[in-house]
Amino acid sequence: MKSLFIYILLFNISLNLYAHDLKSDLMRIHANLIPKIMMMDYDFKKSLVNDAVSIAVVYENIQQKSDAQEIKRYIKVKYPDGFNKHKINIEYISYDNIQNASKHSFYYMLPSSEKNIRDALKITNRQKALSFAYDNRDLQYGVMLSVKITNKVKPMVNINALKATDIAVRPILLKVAEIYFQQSLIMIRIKDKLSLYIV
Amino acid sequence: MIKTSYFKGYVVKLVILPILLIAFLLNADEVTLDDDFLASLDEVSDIASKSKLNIDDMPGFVTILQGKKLELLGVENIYEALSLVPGVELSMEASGAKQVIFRGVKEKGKVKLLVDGVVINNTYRGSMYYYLDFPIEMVERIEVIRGPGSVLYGSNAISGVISIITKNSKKESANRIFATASTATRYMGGAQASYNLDEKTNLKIDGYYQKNDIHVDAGADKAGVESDSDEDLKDYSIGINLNIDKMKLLARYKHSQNGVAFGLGNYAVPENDEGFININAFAQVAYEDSINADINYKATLGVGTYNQKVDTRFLKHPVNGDVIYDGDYKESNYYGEFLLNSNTFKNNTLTIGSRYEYANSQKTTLSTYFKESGDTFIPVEDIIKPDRSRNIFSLYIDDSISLSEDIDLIAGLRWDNYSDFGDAFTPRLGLIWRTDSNLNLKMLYSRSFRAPSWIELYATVPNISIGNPQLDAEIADTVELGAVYRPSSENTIRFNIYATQIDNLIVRESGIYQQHGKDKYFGGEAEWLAALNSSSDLKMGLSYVDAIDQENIALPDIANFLANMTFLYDFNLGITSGTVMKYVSSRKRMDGDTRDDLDGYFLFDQTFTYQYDSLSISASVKNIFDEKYKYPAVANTYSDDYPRLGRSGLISAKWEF
Repeated sequence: MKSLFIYILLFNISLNLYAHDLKSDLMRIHANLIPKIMMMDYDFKKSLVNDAVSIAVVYENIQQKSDAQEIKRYIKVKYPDGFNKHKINIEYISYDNIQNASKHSFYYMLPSSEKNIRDALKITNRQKALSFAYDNRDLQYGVMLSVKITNKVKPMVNINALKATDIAVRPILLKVAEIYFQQSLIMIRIKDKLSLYIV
Repeated sequence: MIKTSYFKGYVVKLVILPILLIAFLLNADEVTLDDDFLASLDEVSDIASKSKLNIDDMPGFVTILQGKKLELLGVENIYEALSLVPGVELSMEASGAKQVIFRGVKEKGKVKLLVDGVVINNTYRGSMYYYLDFPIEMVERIEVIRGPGSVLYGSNAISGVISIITKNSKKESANRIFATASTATRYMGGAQASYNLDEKTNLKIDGYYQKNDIHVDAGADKAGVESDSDEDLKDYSIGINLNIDKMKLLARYKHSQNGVAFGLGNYAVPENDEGFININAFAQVAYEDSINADINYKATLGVGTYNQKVDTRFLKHPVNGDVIYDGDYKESNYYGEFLLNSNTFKNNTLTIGSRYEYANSQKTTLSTYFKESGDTFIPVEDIIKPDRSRNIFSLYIDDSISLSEDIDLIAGLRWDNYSDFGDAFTPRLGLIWRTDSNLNLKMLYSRSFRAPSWIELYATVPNISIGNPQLDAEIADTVELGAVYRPSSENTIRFNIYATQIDNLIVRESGIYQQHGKDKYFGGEAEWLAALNSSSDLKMGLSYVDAIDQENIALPDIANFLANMTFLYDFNLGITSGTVMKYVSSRKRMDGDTRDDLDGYFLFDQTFTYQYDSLSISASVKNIFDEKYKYPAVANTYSDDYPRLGRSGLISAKWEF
């Protein structure tokens, strides 16, 4: 009987391996930072949709959709009156429907396959919208921004992705961020020098 | 000329000044934007620190247990929760005092417990067991440092530090009512309430009452009498937390009455035995502010009190029958602490603190007498010498120096001056190397200490407990090496090995406290945290310890291997499954004990929780396979050790609003 229970449990675990989980504390951090990071874009006002900040949360499956709802809740709690006098609209879009996405100011991308992320980025880049990865490893596929948590929280910037879309960001972001070079797939930190390179 | 000057002035006033003003305002706006962004980074770094998201980049080896998850796993109290920490074994004394054994270190007073940052360990014995039955429904999270922590926490932090963060200390407002009933005759109910009095003032109040009537078939006691254990518990606590802008007032009162489980002297207690009463209360006011963007400080003032009343059968005299132990001990402590955190110096995160504490004894009475005749058994009137006091002054500094983006050096030093035994210096030195985004390596050396307790210094009970005012602090040196490997965002593997040597051990021999010898502990701990998907959460822990004395003889009553696994699965229908598996290996006997080693055991608990809107109902089966497991009893007392509960059922309900 005991062995049967253990077997059932382990079988159950194996079915669920390698999927994704999202930690609520990490999403709280993302929710706090997203509007502030958007303000780092010199053309922030051009990215508004009907004078509102429009954030799209891109999800893979129904489980991630509940995570998308969670981050929306965190943003609404943190910025109940909108941000910088602009209303915040948050929409959920599945990776399957990203081709039909209307214009958004910002894309928050939950973890997915390389293909899904690269396909989504074609849309976000066409809209010249900032893209932000929940998992900073997705910067290697071309997502522009993410954060890294060590002893402090540090933004991560994919310099090539930003440059490819001609999005200019404030020097302060590059100064404090860890800069990610997509070609080499290695994170190289040269911080201050790069602020001249991009701006 | 006059006209020209007038014209120039006109131009300056109407054209240049407005341009300068606009330029200034625009620039000010940009500065504000940048400052705002940097302030947000500080804010989220604070969230990361407080929620311990960045523990893998901090010195030491920490396990975080989230109250919400513990509830879904059917965990009932702090004591049970700690069994899910790698390297922590549960045990119990004959008196029913619960023990948490960190890394094989069994003796009292070597683990420090804090509730919302307030130290619970008393000066009397260094103990804190009376807080281990604190219900999990009251807890936001438990932060556990496995290993030493004296640089920041002072005495008693030799083998571990337990920091309980109550739901009262959460920033978010919430109201909650909860209740639990168990077939193991445990009943518990409580509530938390939150009031926002104005924009900057928030008041939170919580409280609970729990009761159980646990009796376990105990086998034959020291006198050979078959009996049941007496593990009754009547326990309640009430706490308040008042936040007024940057000031925080917190206070808690906790009152527990316990049966003396297997008897104070391993003689089973008769029915209607009064047992122990432990009362702990504290009040603390703290003010926290920033001097500038790089420096913040916290000033704290507090008062605490601990009272233990004992009225129980102590032993059975072969001729004159039961001997009653009637004691009343009370102490108070008053403290002030100032803590400063600074990032002023580039690449340095500096913590500087100072603390002053005064403790004094207020009641120390003891009488031991024959129940039948009322005659005195031991001719003393005090447990310890009366009117004891202790002044403690502490200074500490701890610096995290970023040698490069990837390497942090940690250097800390603490000095404690105790009025009753002298000084203690405790340094630590560590290195954290983020080799890449997947792998962190840690190396740490720490010294920690335990100040002798008042019972060890001043006990006055002949043949049983005589103190020794010459005692010095126990000193422990620990070296730890560890790695944190994150192969993906869903998987974290932590592994560490350690070696600890505790010198100047305080031991009681022939009823007298003495100081000699050393114990050594070698071991390793591993944790695997797998966030399987948004519906699943898996955590596994494994540990090994080899504990030996100075003659390389294995220390008794300690399990070499411990393993645990918790698994949460959300069926997305409002139903969550929580599974707990625990394994504890066999425990060796002490030299001269002819009994076989105490068998290891395997426990399996299963909980299902149904959540409907803000109401959740849980049903658990604890120890599903009705495993017969025991905690070790010393030789020549309970030959069958201290048996634990078999299978039991538990139902609980919570309503948040």
